Amino acid sequence: MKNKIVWVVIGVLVIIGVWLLVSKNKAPVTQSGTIKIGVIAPLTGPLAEYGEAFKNGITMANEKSGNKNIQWIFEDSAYDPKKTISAFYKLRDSDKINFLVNWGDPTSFALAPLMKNEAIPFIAVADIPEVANSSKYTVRTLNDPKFFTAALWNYFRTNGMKNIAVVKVENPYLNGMYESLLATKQAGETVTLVDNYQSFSDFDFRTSITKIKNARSSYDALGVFLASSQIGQFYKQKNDLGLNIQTFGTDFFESQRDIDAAGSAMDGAVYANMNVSDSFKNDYQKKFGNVSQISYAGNGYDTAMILNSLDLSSKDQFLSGIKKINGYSGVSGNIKYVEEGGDRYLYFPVFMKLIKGGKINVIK
Amino acid sequence: MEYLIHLAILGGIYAILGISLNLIVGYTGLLSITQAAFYGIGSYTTAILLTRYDINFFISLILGAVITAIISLAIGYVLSKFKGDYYALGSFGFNVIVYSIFLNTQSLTRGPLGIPGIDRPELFGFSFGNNLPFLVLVLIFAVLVFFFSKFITDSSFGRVLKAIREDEQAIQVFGYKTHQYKLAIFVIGAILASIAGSFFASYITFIDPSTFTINESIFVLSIIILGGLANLRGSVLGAIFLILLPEILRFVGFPSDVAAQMRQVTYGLILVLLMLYRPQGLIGEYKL
Repeated sequence: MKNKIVWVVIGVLVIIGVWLLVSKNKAPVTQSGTIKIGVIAPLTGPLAEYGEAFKNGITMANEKSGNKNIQWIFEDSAYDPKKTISAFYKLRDSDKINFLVNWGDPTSFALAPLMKNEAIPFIAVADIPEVANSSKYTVRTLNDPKFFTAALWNYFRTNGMKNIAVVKVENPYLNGMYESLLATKQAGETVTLVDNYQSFSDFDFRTSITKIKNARSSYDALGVFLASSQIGQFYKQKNDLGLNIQTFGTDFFESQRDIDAAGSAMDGAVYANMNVSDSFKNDYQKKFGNVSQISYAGNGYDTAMILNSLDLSSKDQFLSGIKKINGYSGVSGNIKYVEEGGDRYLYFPVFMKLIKGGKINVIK
Repeated sequence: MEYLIHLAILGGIYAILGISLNLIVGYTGLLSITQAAFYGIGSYTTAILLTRYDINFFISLILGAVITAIISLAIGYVLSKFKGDYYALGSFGFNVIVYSIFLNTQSLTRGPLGIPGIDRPELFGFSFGNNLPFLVLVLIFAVLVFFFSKFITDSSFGRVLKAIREDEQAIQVFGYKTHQYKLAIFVIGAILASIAGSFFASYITFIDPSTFTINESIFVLSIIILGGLANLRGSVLGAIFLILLPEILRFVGFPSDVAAQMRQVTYGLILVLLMLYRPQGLIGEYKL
């Protein structure tokens, strides 16, 4: 009897599930002529802070523009390629999207081959040029690491720093940053990888810090290429062990949670990232109560505003419109479209930033 | 329609994975938490052979199974000497080692960058590039794996496995060399997981180490616990349920600000409730 009940429950669940999955009217009702843009971002998981900021930026742009002809539909990827593809098929088949935006390198890599045969233009918030190769309607909206490391080297050279140590965790973006740092060093400059951590859940960095402390005279600066939550712990431990050295990092530093966790230990740390205007920052803080990863909110906001300004009636109209973007004045600064080989991307201006007193300031 | 086909393909791949682990955990009572490692070895073998050497998918699938068999034989030999919690810990360690190898042998696996552009299968000029023929192929393999596993579990070999699960010492008294049986089923389970991995790599066309962490092993373990231990249909049911559930939740009208988080909470809650009211799984016959 019990087994029969279980089978009946399973049967009902499967029927409801299939009905929901194939139902065509689940998306909010829109008027004809409405352009639907699907956005896939990590709204849960280890990089949820980025996904949320990106989504918030798009939401603000949508409110600002008041454009009722564009409907944004958000789906969570959890930064997992398999879930991203599921989200894409849901957006395409059920929501009937006209455009796709995806945040993240591995997830964009997984989506890119699908775009070969799709009629859907794809905006990838990814920094790896290969992503744009699969379809001419794919455009990236994240700078290649070379732009960030160029700003870092410029800062080091201005301040007479030649010998760089790096502590890193395995991640496509952070690896790209490290490789780019190595590739762009000049004669007489060194980049040494002190330790390479395997996972975002490593939180004990005392061995690395002690190693650097013992060889302190060999290094002018220390790169902390770690992820959210790790950064705050690293700086606390660095402070506890009395290591005094100029530190620098990546956009992962733009996490208020880590800055707060590190307290004054993070004072003086620098990193290169995109930026947002003060007025955007204030509005964002008022609306969402924090400014974590606000540069990605700016990236989302500007991407949404650019799409709002384009003729999206066809993918060719979109492509010809985005190619004309040159000096678009957004909250992130002047944005321009760049084509290099098979790569297509919107370049967002890069700024050096300094953390002081728990706040992030742009270095003029 | 493509969405349903996609979910059916994932369901098929995870059903193979679930069956492969059920042979080890459900039928033999060995708490193995390393299935993602063998799944990963199959995936990476296929990905590397297809992208670098342009080898046919089916040959890569066989080579992946052979490599997995050799590795699992070595690991299984060590693990077959363990029991209970020690077995679980040993298998956990192996998953961590394999993950680190995927992450660090960058010249072979491209490390965290992963391997993109993996081709779909082709056989005698027929391409499985579209999802529908790919689904048919996955289902054929899933059915073959199901009946092969049923053959094993219904045989005298399968009865020895169940006896090991119930009382290993008792069956040793009758002269059975239980570690050989444990090793054999471990290798068979690993080979089946490798086959699932080959399909996964070719279907998603991109793999990176993050897919083969201990979390994935736990997910596969959840499939068989939820579906039912020592029940092959339970593995299939568990796979379908855990693949479909998060997708169904995408359609539940949570407020958009917190929709993703609410879905995750609901997903967890449903699993907790299921375990409360069906601790033996949906159609299981054995409890861990």
